Amino acid sequence: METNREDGAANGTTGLNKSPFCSKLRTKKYYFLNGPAMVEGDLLDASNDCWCKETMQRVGPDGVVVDPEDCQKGRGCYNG
Amino acid sequence: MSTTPQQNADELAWPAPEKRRSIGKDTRRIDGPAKVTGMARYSHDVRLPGMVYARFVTCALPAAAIELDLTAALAVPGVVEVVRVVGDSTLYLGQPIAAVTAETPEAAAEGARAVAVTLTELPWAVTAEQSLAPDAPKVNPRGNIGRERTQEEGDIEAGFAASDAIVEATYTIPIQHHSCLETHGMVVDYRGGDSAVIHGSVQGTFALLDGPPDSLGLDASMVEGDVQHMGGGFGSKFGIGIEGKIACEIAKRLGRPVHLMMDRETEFHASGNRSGNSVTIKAGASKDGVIQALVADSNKLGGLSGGSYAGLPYVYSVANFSSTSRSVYTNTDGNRAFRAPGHPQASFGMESLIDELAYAIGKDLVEMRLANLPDDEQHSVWRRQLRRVADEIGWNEHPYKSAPGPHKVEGGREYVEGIGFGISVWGGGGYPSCEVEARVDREGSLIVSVGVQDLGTGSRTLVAMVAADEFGLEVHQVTARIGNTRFGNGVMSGGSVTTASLAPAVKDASNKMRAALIALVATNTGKDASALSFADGGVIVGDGLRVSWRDACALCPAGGLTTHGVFQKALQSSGVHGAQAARVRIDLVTGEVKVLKMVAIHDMGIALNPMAVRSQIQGAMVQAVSYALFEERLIDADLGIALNPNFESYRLANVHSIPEMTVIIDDEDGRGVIGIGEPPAIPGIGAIAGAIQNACGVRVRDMPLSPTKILIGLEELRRS
Repeated sequence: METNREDGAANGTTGLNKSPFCSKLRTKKYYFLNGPAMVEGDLLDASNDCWCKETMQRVGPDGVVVDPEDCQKGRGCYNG
Repeated sequence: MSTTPQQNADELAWPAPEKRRSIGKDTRRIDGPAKVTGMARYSHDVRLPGMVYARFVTCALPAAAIELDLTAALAVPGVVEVVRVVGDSTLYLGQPIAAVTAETPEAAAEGARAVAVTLTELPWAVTAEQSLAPDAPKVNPRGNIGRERTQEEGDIEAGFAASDAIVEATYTIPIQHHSCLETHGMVVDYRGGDSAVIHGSVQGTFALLDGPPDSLGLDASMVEGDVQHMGGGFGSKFGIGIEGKIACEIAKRLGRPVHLMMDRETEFHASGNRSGNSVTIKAGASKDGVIQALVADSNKLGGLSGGSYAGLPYVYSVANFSSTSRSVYTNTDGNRAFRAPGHPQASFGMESLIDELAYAIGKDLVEMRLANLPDDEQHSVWRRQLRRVADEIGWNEHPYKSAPGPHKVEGGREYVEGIGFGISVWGGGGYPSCEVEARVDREGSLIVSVGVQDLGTGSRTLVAMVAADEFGLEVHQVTARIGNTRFGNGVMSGGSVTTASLAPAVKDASNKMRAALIALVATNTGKDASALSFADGGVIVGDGLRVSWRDACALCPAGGLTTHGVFQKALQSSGVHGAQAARVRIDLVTGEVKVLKMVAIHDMGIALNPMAVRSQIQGAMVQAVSYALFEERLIDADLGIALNPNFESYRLANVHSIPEMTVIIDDEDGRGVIGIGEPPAIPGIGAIAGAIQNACGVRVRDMPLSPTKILIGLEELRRS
């Protein structure tokens, strides 16, 4: 897809990704997604398991549990 | 020059049963000989020049402030570095706190033992009771309860009013380890420079590109992920884990290949599990067996994760119900996906309840289930399947259909036998994510490549089978190349989606190659392509012509022919039903349970490799025996320490525990390909628990169904 590479396009800040979730949030379903996760149900499968790509654990860089409800804008370690 | 012909392919459809040449036939794994001779190279086996070995030091308490003195560890001969991998404190039992890297595995282990760890215990909770106590430490800053959900339908009060019998019970299921034979870990082949190869024991080859490039400071295009063989995942090996991240960081620092595979104790406490569950149910049934009302309240025990639970009523149709579940967080590693996440937990409670209600109203266990299974056309298959396993297990001749057998036997006989049942449901459809390349050269080689991994379930063989079937070749004439990110994208293995995602894409690539080769022969012979087809042996026949595979391939251009296949939705389907039955024998003196026989029937559309399907289902039944009777992660609730973090004390079923197993592939199914990895792991535990009660009257509501619990139950029955 052609995009207008201005206003920070080169470093991925075009704002096209409207996902409310931290870009480091990972779940099993993340690997089956056809696009950005928009709601919690896009990410969580029956296992209810998620982890942080930064730590690769169930604990985020801030030492707190990883969860789609929390891994959003406003958390200190949030990465857009 | 290679070409990519994309036209004139036949309409894609699986051939009718009588026209199938490879698919639908029992086919041995093409990598079987390599595995049984030890030639297959797993990530754990990779050895590289200049390699160093890393090992974790873990926290022995559920939560603690950490101080480390690395002096002694660094003094161990062969130790290269020791690094702290945690902040000031830990949040779960077994959390890695340091990584020791050494020239040999032995030096790494000795170095890990030499790390001086000072733990200052912080408040923690490892049980639901501790987590829910008023003064419990906050495991999760949002609170120790999360994701509380309630689903309700109908009029519960009216349902109970219409009931002739009511059962109230709490069913609990412990935390189960995945027990992969190959532990979690990676080998990172990085020696400085601008490229790396990652060998990982993961369930998705391409997961090896999600994290390692960042840790190595490389562009993903310069990192190659490789998963040739892996020793089991069962849902626990999505993502690279902390072990993968730390391995990459060590490699980056040292500029040397790193081997970091977890030891068993670390594996048990830092690589996930099947969450525990506790559900309290009150349910009522009328004399005709219909469940009139059900109220369920469940705690999911997934450590730092949310816990898995499929909810109640599971499978069965209940008009009036209320089902609540919530996550209860504890200071233990989070649960991960585990073969049909949440379903066995729900099935155990539901099947137990069905049995108890049936006995309460004096109803045949099979008839009770039939009275509550959905009766719409889509789900009528369950009725047929249940009757089939009932026939096969010997239900018709069984004396105790609507009341349990004897809990004491006169005349010196000390054994009783019983039968139980379970029902399951699953999805198993495919995803549009596999990109397959088929390539033929002038010498007659047919190579089919896709990056998908083989968990040990036979995906490599499947690739060769589907391609061979298209040309009438023998399976061994096809070279299947998988498990590498240099090949086309492969779906991750989870949710039983691999076969239904992979096989249609292989079929698509093969079908295009078939058309391309026929077109080539037609062009060179002046024949009508539409009159030509592949016969057995890869021979192209028709219109008076007979061209061997090698002769046809010899017509290829110098670069051979290449075709590409992608997911074809019409070739797959979704929705697996199943029923299982178990027959057990109980020693009334020792309480020992021997599962004598299990019968399973499942539908999965076209069973591409029936041998592999049976293998999956047999494995699931063995896993059910193990889960039902033996497995349980134990943590001392007072001290917070792990009590059985190894295979000496965490018991698994062994060869003596394995019953006679009958697998019935439900072939009354005209649908496309569906995955069968997870669904057979669901109903077995409920069937075994039911068989125990059917044999002796003791309902053990708390897994594992141990001899001690059975003896206590027998004593209670005798006293009552």
